[in-house]
Amino acid sequence: MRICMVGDSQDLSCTYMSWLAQKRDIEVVTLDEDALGVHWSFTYADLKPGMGVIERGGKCYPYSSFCGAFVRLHPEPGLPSDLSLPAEEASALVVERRYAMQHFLNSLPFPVANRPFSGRSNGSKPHQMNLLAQAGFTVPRWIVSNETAAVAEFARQCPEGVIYKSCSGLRSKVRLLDKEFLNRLQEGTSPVVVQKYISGYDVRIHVVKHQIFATKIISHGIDYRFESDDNQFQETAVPQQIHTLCINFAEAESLTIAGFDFRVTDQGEWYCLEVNPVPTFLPYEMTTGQAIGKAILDLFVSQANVALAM
Amino acid sequence: MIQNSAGILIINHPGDELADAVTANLHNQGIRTIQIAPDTLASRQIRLHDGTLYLDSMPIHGTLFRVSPDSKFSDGYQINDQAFCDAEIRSVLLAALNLESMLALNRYDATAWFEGLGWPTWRRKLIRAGIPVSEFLFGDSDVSVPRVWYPYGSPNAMRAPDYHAKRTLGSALTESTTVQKSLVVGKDVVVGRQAASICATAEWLAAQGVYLAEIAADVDDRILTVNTLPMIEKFETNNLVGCQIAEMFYAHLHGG
Repeated sequence: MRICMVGDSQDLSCTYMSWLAQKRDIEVVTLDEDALGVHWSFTYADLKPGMGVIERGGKCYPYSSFCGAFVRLHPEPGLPSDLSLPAEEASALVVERRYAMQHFLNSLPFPVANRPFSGRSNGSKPHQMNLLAQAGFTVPRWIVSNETAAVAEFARQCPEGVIYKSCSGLRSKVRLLDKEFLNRLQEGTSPVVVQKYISGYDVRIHVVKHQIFATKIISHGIDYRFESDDNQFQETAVPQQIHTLCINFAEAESLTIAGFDFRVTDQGEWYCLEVNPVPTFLPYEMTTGQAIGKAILDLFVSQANVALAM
Repeated sequence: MIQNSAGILIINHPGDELADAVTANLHNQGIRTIQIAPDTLASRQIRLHDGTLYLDSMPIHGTLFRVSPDSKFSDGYQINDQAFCDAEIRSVLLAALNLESMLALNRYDATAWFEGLGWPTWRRKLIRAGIPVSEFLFGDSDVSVPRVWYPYGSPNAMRAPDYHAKRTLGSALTESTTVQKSLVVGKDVVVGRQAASICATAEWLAAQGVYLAEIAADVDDRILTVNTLPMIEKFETNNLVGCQIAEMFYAHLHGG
């Protein structure tokens, strides 16, 4: 049985998944993006994806010999180690190679966690919030704007307070709206998401196909990801309706693994904030013992068993 | 019910004659229009609230989007802030173009928006839709017959690269060449052949919200590439298509 680690094998999640796989005697083939064409290559016709082959270190691996791929693409991949190019050419190579990696991963005929085309709505928070609301999740009221008057009026309508955050998928800290921020808006800036603050606690739900793993985070900060000193992580239960919505949404977005972020009020109302297609599940697994990595491997292995039975 | 005070936003690079033709037609119909270059967008007053986009306080219910999503939107911002600002505007635009209140030409889903509007995205989608596409080989393919190379980031065919470049770039090679390109507006072929595969592609694209495209097919009528930002050279065609698009916006604003 064989899987591949694609993109950045130095990524902590890749390292962990490789270790888990090797403990189960699953062979791991490492396919680093910056080594494409040097240490490994692929050949396939996307109209006959089952006939594809990966070559690495002089060995040929048919696509049919893999049961899954775990992916972590580096945000700034490098050039092949023995290649030196002027900056403009280097940039063109990196961009074109990333397109190739995307096409390769999108075409693989076995489970991939995750394919580049899946979960792309996370690149736009307002778009994803609209999709979440259409899917049946409760999303806190929001406005996107760079107009001071509109933002101030929205904040006035939310006496429990409002937070602001970036519109794009770029990682940014969530903060409470204050006068300093309104002054920055007045001076001119790009639009931001301003959203009703939900008093309560955070829950991260990881979905692996049809399994869910929920973690309650008790934190004294506004954005627990950036304020980790006294965070407490606990496995928690999830209402059946939320369970179903998460699995359905992940499936609709073609996500093998997904990380849903919620705020939950003391009255038990669940507000969905966003869905991450590249969730860092290690902090949740390490603190609660939930076997998220194992679930991903189980999924891969179950697909291999299906293929063997056919 | 669409508000009569709502208008149309046209985003294009200078010199885009189709965008100019649409703008002129909308003006003739008395429709409020804002036509801007993409790099000025971040300097405008933008609001997305309760299902409506507002630009400089004007509700926008239609957008002709004639530039790539990865365009620069942040002229006037400090160099160090521009990449962040571009990403922010890009994300707002995706949400805006997908609003129910908005007729967008073209409307893209998040995959096309962030993966790129190039042929690889449309090829994958067309394969899934069951529409015949030209045969390609990808990567380190050992092929003896002459093939042309379609870089993933370009709509134009090139001479096949050498061995090392082919491996490193996972190159896409094909024997197919374009026979003719067809221009489609809505589900209709306005210019070019009306082969079954082209009509099927036009219909499928329109169902996704892509109403304007140039579709290239090979000698066997399999789809080779789709270009959703076509440039139209002929003056008469520009006027015809400009008029058709303006009529679509007019009908949308008036509840049609």
